[in-house]
Amino acid sequence: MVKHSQLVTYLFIGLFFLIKTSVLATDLHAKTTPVIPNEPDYLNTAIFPVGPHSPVSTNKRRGRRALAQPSALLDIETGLEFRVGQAIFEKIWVFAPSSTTASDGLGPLYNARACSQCHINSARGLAYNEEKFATNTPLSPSPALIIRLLGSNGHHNGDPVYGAQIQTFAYPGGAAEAEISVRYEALAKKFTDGEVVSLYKPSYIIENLRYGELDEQTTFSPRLAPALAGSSFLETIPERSILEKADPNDTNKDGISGKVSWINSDSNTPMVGRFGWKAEQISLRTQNLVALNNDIGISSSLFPNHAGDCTPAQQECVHQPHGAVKTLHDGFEASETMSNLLDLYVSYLSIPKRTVDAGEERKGFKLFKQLNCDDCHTPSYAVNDSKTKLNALNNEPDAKPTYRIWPFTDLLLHDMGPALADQTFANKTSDAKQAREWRTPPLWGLGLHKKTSGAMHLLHDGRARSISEAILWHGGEAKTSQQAFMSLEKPERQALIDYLETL
Amino acid sequence: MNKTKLFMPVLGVSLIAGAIASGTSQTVDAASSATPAAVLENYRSLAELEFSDALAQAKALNTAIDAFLADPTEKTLASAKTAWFASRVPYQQTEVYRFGNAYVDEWEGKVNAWPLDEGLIDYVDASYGTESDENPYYSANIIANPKLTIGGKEVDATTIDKKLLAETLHEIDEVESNVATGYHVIEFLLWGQDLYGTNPGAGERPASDFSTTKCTGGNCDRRRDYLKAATDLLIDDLNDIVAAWAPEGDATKQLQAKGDQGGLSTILTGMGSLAYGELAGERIKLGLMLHDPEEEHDCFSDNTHYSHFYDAVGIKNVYMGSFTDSQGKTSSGASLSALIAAMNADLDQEMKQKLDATEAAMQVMVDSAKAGSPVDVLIGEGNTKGNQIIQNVVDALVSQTKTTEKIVAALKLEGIDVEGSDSLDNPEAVFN
Repeated sequence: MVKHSQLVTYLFIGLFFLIKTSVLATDLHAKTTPVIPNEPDYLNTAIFPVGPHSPVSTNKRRGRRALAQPSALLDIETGLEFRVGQAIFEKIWVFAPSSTTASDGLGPLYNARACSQCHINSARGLAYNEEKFATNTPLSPSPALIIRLLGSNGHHNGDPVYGAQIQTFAYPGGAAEAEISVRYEALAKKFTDGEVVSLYKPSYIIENLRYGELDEQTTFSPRLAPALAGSSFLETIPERSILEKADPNDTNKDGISGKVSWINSDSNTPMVGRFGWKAEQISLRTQNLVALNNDIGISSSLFPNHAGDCTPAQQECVHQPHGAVKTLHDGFEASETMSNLLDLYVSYLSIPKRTVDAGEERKGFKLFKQLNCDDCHTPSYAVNDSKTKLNALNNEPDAKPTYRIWPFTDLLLHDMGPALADQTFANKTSDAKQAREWRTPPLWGLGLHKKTSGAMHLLHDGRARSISEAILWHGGEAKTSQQAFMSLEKPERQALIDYLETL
Repeated sequence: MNKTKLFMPVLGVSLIAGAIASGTSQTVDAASSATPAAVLENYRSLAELEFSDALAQAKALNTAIDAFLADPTEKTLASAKTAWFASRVPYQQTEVYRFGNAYVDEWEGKVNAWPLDEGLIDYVDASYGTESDENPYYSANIIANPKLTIGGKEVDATTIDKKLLAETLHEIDEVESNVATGYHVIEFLLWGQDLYGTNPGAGERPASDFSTTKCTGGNCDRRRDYLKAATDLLIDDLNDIVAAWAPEGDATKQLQAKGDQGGLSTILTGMGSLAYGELAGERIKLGLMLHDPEEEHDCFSDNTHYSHFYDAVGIKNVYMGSFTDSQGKTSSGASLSALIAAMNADLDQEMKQKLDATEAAMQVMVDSAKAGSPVDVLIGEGNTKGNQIIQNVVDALVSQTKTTEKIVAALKLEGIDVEGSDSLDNPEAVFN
C-alpha cells in the first residue's frame, strides 16, 4: 500500500496539470488550426521553440517517473484506465495454475516476470547492475538485456529449437535455456584535440545451452529494453513522411541510404516497421504483445501461444500447465481487456516539456545540423491530432496535420558498421547485411534516462555509458558524422552533448 | 467474555451506515469562523478523534481475541471476527489522512499493509504455490517453523512476540508483500484464506486452529502467540498515531509547517488521491476490469464493501469537518465546506451532492454484499449487473474528483509542481 500511495498522489496531482494543459492545448489548437508551421528555421528564428509542444507533452520533467507520465490528451475518465494499465504493466506474473487466474501464465520459459522489471520506471532498462560494472570480468546482464536469435540472413525467424530469444528463467523443475554473461573490454579513443576516452566493447558469453546445440546458421543480437514514452506518437507519423526520406540505393550520393523496414502484415500488404531496434514491428500493439509473449510467456489474441517462446522441439515446456481458461479472459492468459489496457498505458506515455535557454538551444542545434546528425535523426514531423484515438490517423493520406512532434528519428534502417553488428556464436560479426542495420532510435527524452533508470546505458545493447560514447560507436553510414564529432573542440562537443541532454 | 460489549460496535456500524444512507449531513454553523487556520485545526482535531476511535475499537478487538483464546470455540471466534469488522469502521475513515500527510503514510505500512503473501505467516492451500522469485519468504510459514534458514540467512522465530513481528519479519528482505503486522494479518489469522475466488464465501479457518487441546492446522500455541502479538502491536501503533495528532504531536507539526495554503492542499490531496487514484483506480477499477478477486481489499473476510464505504465516509468527514464515532457521538467544527460556501455557495453545494452520490453508489454495493453478493462476486466475469454496481461507484468517485479539482482551483492552490525526485519520495513536499 505504501508503494501505491506515491504513484496515486502523483497521478492525482498530475490531473491538475492535465486539466490546465488540456485547456491550453485546445486554445493553441483553435488558434493554429489549420496553419501548421513548417519546420522552424532554428538558426534564424528569434524565439526558439522549446518543443516538443503539442499533446505529446506532459508538464512534468524531473523525477524518476519523468517518462511515465500521461499525455495532456488524457481526460480524467481515461486517466483511471491509464492507472489500471500501469498496474498491469507492473503486475508480477506467476506460474499456472494458481488461485489468481488473472495473473497466472508466466513462462514456462521467460526473461522477466513483469514489464516494469525491464522498463525501469516505464523507461529504459539497464544492461547490468550499475554498481557491479567492471571491465575484463564477466558480468551478469539484467533481464532488460535479451539475446534475440536470428537466422543467417539476419531475419527475425529465430532458432529452430530455442525460438525467438534465449530465456534465462524456467518453470519449476525446468531448465533455463542458457546462462548469459557479458564482458567489457576498454578501448581507448582519442579526440583530435588529444583527449582520450574509453569505449567498452562487449563480448557475450552464452553457456550451458540446455536444449542442445543452436542451429549453425543462427546468429544473435543483444537488445536492451528501450524507453517507451512517445512511442504511440511515432505511429502518427504519416507513412509518406517516412518514405520520402528513404534512399536505399543512396541515389543522392550522400553516403546515407535509409531503408524502409517493410513488414508483411496479415492483409499481405507490406507495412512500414516502426518499432523495435530493427523496426521489426508495425505497431505499438504488436510490439507490446510480442514482448509479453516472448519475454514473460503470456498469450494474447495476437500471440496466442500459451507456452510463449517454447518451440515444438521443447516438448516438456510445451506441455507445462498454462494460465488460459477457455471460459475466462477470452481464452488467453491476457484477456483482450488486459491487452487493451496495456496498450492504453504505453500509448499515453509522453515526453515531458522542455525548458531550455534559447541561446544554448540554438548553439547546440547548429552543431547537430553541422554534423549532419539530422540526416537520420529527423527532428520533427507534422502529424495528425486525434483526441479520441491516438493511433487512428496513421497513414490517412487526407488527414490534415494538426501539430508537430519532435522525435528525432527517420524510423529507417541504416548500416551502422561492423562494430555494432549482430554476431555469430563463434563471436564473429555476422555477414548478413541486416546484421549491421539498425533503426534510428528516437532521441526525445534522452536526457532523462539517467534520472529514470539510474544510469545511462545507450545503444541497442546498452554498451555506451554516456551520450558521447554512443556517438563514438556510430559507424557505417554515420562514420562521417562520428569523425566530425571527434574533430570538434571540447567546448563544442560539450555544447552538442548539453543540447542532446535537453531533449 | 462480555457479549454486550462485543456487540456494541456492530450496532455502531449499522447506525453510521444508516445515517449516511439517508443522506443527512451535519449543518456546520461555522461559515463566518471557517478561516483556513480554523479549518486546519479542526482537520487535526478530527484526526485525533478518528484515530482515538480506531484505537478504542482495536482495544475491544483485543478483548474479544483474549476471550477467544481463553476458550477457542466457533462462537468466540465469531465474536472476535465481529470485533474485527467493528475495528475497521473508524480505521478506514482515517485513511484519507494518509494521502498528503507523509507522516501517516510512513506509519500506515505497519498497520494496514496489503496485499500480503500470507504463506510467510501460516499454512496455506496447495494452490497458493510454494515459491516466488520475488519473495524468498513466500511460503516461510513462521508459525510452523521456529527456526529457518533462507538464502543463507537464519531467522530465529523461537519466540513469537511483538519484536519478532515488527523488527524481524515485517517487510523482511525488503519485500513489501512480507506483511507480518497489522489489520490484514489479524484478518488472515481469524479467517484463513478465501478459496472461493469470485464465488460467494470467505475464509473458513476453524476455531480449533487455536485450540490448546484439539489443535488443527498444527502449532496452535505458536498461532495463538502470533495472533496475540499482532493485536498488541496494532494497539501500540495506534497509540503512536493518536499521539502524533495531539496539538503538539509530530504529524500536527508537519502539517502546520506547510502554512495555510499548504495545509489546505494537503486536505485536498488526501480527498482527491484517495477517491481517484487509490480507491476508484487501484482498489476498484483494477479488480473490476480484470475480474480478479486478488485485487480485493479485505479479501480474507470479504469485508471489502465496508472498507470502500468507510473510505468514502472519511473523505466526506474531512470536507464537512465532522466525524461520528463508533458510539454515535458527532463532533464537528470549522469545515472546508463552510470555507468554500463563503466563496462560492454553488460549488459547495455541488461538492456535497457529489459526496452524497458517492455514498449512495457505495450503499448499493454494501446492500448487495449484505444480500450475499460481496465485492469478489460483483466483479466476476459475466456478472453484468454486479459489474455495473461497481462501475457506478467508480463513476461517482471520478465525478467527485472533478469537483475536488474545481475546489483546488477556487482556492487558488495552483503552481503545484513536482520537482525532483525528493518530492516523489515525499508527497508532503509537493505543495511547498
